[in-house]
Amino acid sequence: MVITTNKKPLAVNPLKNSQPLGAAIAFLGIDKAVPMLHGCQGCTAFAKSLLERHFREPVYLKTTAITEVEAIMGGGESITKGINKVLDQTHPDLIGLITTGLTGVKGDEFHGVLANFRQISSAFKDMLIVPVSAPDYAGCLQEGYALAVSSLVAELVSRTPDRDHKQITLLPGSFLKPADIWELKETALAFGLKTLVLPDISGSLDGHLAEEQVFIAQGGIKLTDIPKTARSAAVLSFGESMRNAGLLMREKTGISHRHFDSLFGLFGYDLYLSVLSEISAQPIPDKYRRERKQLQDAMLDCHFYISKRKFALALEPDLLWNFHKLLSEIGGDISLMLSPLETDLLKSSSELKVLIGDLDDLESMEKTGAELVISNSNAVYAAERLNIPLMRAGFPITDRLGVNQRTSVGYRGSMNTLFEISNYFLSNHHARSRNDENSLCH
Amino acid sequence: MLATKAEILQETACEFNKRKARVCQNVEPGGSGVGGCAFDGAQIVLVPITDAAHLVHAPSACVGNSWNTRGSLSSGPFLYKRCFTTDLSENDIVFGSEKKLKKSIEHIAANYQPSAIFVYSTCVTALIGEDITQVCKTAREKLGIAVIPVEAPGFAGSKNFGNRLAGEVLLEHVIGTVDPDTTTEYDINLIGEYNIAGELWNIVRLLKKAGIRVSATITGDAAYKEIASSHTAKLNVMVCSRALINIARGMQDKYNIPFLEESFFGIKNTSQALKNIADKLGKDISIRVTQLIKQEKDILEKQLAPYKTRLKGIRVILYTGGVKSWSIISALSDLGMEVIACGTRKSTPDDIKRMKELLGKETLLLKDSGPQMLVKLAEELKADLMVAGGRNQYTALKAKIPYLDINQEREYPYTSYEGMLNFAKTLEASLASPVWEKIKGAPPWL
Repeated sequence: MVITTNKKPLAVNPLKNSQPLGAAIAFLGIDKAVPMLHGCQGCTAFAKSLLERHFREPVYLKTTAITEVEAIMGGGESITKGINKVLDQTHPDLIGLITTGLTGVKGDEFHGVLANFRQISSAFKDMLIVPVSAPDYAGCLQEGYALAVSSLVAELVSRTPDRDHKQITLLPGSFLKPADIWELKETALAFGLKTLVLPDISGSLDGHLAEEQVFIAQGGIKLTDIPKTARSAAVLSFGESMRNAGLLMREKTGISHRHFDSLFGLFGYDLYLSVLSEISAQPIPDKYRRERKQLQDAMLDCHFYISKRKFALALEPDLLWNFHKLLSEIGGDISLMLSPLETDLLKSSSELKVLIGDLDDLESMEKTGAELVISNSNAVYAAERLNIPLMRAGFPITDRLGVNQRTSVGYRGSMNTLFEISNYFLSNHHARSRNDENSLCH
Repeated sequence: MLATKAEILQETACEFNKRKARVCQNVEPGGSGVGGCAFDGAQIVLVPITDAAHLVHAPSACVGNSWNTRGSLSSGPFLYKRCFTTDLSENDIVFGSEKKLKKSIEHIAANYQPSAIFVYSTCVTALIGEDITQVCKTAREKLGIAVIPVEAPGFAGSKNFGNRLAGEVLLEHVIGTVDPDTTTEYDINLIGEYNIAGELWNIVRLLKKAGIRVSATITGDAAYKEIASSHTAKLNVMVCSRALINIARGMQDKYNIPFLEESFFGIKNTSQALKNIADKLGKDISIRVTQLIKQEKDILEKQLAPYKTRLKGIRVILYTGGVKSWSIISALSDLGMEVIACGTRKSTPDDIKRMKELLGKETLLLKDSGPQMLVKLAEELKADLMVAGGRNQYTALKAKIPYLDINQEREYPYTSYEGMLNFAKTLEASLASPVWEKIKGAPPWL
């Protein structure tokens, strides 16, 4: 792959989301967990607001609210105070303590502060506090999320002689939405396999109206189930960013590890089903045989609209790779792949061109002749200026409802995505017959 | 010279500063982060200058997480919606990034034709000692446009404190730097009206009917030049917010412009605001205003009548900050609704006094209530509706309580007489929806 980086001294309309956001999402996939951002109060307020706008769900985050003086002298005291207050008010099962750029700069010794805290406050000796260093001057959302998952594995998972051959552990990357995780779980269940998903936002951020309201992450994997992930027949990780968490799990538990870079498209799910079949020693259920044929039929219908069409993708690396796989399967021409971050996987393929940049670069891509942009809601301005439609994907999506409730993985998910993409061009076709060029957009 | 933190905390015109628990101070560790930081507050005030570029000197999260979150609308320029950040990497932090900042400013000046460039320091850049004031000064001399340092790093204080810091920036660097093209005898500035959902436009339209010209809004749908030449107005009107009182007082001291504090929320408030402004501007305007009020009220009362019948007696929990509380109580009572509990989190003693005058004796005043408390109260008091900011939207909805958003994310303008009709329509649409019974009923198999 040819990777180029834009030449600007600054970012204009950044594509990148920050690491602490990703880490917070990961902790929100654990039942009764509280993500606490170690930084200034604004770090938390901004993150909470953005997460609520994307998921359209209440999100409970806490802050260590460090002050100017503490920022200079070290913020250990505010961590101690903050944790005490959280324990007092919300009685969580776990606190995920996340550094921000501010505290990362100071190199606050998280683990030191915590060990100290555990000593002082013997009443909370057993309280689980999982620290993650995820400063926002490095990486992007998917990296912060993966770092949090690795921390959880490091702190909570260890080797056990117990084995449950009817259980698998899934480590879904941040590119998977709540509905995607549902699909993965349901599919495994069809093979008679129970799943433990770390973390499981399909239980907490799927948008469901509960009978009772609690003011903390509700749903998701239970804390007591996290050590049980070591008993599984295998651990499956999804998305390049999650490979390390999967490897760590294998190293710590000795269970076998299978990794999937892509779940979109025919090939992606073929692989998942084959692995499930192998682990469970069960044949592929009829339901999925049927759905595969449906997807193939849909691919035929859609290739008229997608093959040789030019697409501009501006997404975080894991999702970028998945859309690339999906579109390539029926001949979509990806004229621009824009990523906030370079990764090994993106570098591995020789025929692709990837630009590391921001959404402003998307605007200057008129020459590529892209006919559809696939990116997050912030790309709406670029798409408007280019006068081409935007299909929303990734994070954040703040101007569409139902995003997190729609499956993009599996044969059904891929089928629906291909239809959605084709429909942008189909309606355009109709518009042209009315000689109405403006309706091309949205 | 910019006011120091201590000076701002002692702002004489601010009543909060006479109290122990000051609004401008930080939240406690372990808090739920519902309040923004000083950087947030500074952006709230300055970003609605729509033809300026706003460059945030920080790692990605500061502006990445806050970009596009406020619904401050523009009638033309769009540059304020473009997000500029130096997006610092680890290396930038270790080796310093003033050079990068300088190049970024030059890049913006060369490519985006900004009327001015506001450069924001943040926690990280303040901590590593980046001298943004010097960088801005050098850039201004080289580029010949206003390059303005905004030193309001998040950890300096709360959102309100950031509002104040931004006010100081405007007083120091912007207001009074340009002479206006035209002036009239009836020019006023609005302060603290950010044009969320177009609320400013409702007010401007109304004032225009009375012959009053809004020469600058500090800041909503604002051109840089407008603010720069706002020192010639006859009157400053603070709209529903005391956060920028330092601007009003500063302009009074420096340019002899008197100020008022008014609200355009609700019928009574709007009429009172018009009267008070007219009193300051002279007899001609007063006569026109009297006619205008009568005219507008007559039209509105007819339009509101059907909604009022349906909204009468609806029991409301109102949970919002500061000045907004009394102005919304007044608007709700215009519709015959009943406020049974009311938040006073950011209210001054004076606000609370005004609230009490408008409220019944049984109304509960809530100091600082978490979401848990609000839901419990709603159940106990049998509330029909919660009116609150965006942070409590899901608190209400998940508790199956009808909810109206009156903060930064609101979708419809509620100010002035015409906004009152929107307000009533929105309230009625939500309350009348059959959805509330559907979500409460048990499934048939139980």
